[in-house]
Amino acid sequence: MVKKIFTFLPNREKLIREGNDRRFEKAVPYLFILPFLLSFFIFFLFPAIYSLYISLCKYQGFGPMKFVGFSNYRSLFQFDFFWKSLLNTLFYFIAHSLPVMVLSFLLAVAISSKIVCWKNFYKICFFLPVTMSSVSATLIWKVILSTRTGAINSILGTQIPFLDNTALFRWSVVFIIIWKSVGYYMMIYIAGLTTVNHEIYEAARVDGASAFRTLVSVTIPIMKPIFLFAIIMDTMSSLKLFTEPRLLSAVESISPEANTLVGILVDNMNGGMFGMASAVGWTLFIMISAVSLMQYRILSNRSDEK
Amino acid sequence: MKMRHFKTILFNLFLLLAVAVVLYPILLMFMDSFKTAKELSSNPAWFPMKPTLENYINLYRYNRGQIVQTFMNSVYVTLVHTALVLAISSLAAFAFAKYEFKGKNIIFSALLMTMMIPGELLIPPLYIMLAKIGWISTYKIQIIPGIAKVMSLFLLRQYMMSIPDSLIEAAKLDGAGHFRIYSRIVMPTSVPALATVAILEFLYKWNDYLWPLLMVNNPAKLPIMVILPTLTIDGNLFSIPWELVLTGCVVATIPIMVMFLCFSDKVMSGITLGAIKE
Repeated sequence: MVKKIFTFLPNREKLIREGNDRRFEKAVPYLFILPFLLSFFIFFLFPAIYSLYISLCKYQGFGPMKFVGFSNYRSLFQFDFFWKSLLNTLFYFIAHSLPVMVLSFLLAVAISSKIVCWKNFYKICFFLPVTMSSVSATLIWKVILSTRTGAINSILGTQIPFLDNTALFRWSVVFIIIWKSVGYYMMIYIAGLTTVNHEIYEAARVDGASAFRTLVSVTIPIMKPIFLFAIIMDTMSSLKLFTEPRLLSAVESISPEANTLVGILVDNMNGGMFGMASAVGWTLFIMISAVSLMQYRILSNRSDEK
Repeated sequence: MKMRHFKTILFNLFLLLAVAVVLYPILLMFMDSFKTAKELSSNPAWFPMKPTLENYINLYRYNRGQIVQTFMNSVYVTLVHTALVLAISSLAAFAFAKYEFKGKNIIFSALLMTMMIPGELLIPPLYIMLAKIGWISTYKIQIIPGIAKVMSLFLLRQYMMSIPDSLIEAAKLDGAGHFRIYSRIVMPTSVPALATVAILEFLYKWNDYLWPLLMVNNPAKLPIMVILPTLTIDGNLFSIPWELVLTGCVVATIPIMVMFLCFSDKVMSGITLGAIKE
């Protein structure tokens, strides 16, 4: 691509041979970033702005696009399933985030400690679910959790309706997300722990601090920026949840009780309601920004006090 | 000392137990793929009693080779997409790492800020835009949108900044042009970072579900991830052939798993790079 652009410049050979043409020298870095910026503009920036406009329009995929103001948002907010999905999304996010953060941090501390051998083996095992696609992961769990012929019910000799009862279904989704994401945050925490200076631990040990005490008063405060990063990453990905609840519920019928915001977006896309779908997208964006900002405020304020 | 010994055993036992819980579903997926439908319902939790390759044969024949077709679609789309991401982000990363130019910092931080915007927001506008130019249900729509990935740019720039300037100066004195410096010096030196980005992008694209689900309607162009949840026997929508679905999951997971086990260090360190470099 860059070569092509070069050939369009006049007297390319002469410019390079002389090597002192300021204009060409100045243009070089822009030529290098041009392909990236161009595709970024076409496939990211422009659609992002365009979607704000679409969310204010009525468009069915054909015919003219009609500007309708905020009516998409208004009808969205009057739509029962929208609120249900929003609450579901928040539930999945709140219910999974604390267990994931605690479990992954504990695993990271355990694996980083001197008394554990086969560190790499553990890392690879816990990371394996992260590399799996949400589709395969959900389908496997769907078989395992099935009421009559599922592996868990057959081991326990019970018939717990993990996927047929709405409340249990939601917790099953939470469980799958935890299973799938613990390894990821564990790796982030392990990387964070290796950056902590060992002299600090030595100092704490000399002062007679116990291992638990060192963890609480030394490691955790130092790791604060890493926690913040992990929590915000987790928020951004879990508020966009879609595949797990959608595929875990009956394959061909949509289970509105378990739907998420992205699920509503997809349903609107399938129904050809582009305006509504965009409105859902913007609601999602606002929610992600608000939650991340709140987390940032809370976590960075606390470190100011110390 | 005795206390310490006890602690070591306890720690490792606890970790091994956790590993068992984490790996069980994955192992079960492999085991179930060797069971018949009958055995899957009578023996769902353990090793297959009479292992059979029937499911793999049925999957191979499914709908006149549709699974093979979708698998190859996934391979093609993922490889081309990854190559394009590497090409355009390494070019841009080189400029951001090794050149001074007006607006450099503003452009770069603006790009980083857009990482907050969820990709789902782009689905409706991109659908409308790309439908107008006839891209729906093509390979193009699966390959090209999303090649300008800020995360890849960021990782590559971080790495390229560590290439010594003297190396580039020396090449300049030898009369190498800008593009030659990029292709002969910067790219070969950046192979570790390029490999990390390539693997992460491969994982992401291979596992992607939402985008092809909405953008591709033609069954001949679908990637394997979209076809997996829709498998049926003789078009009967009400009984799902789970033994076949799980076998499909194995087939879709093996490329990823092989890649991860070969390059596990690269995958795991690449994923955490962003966190530590902040």
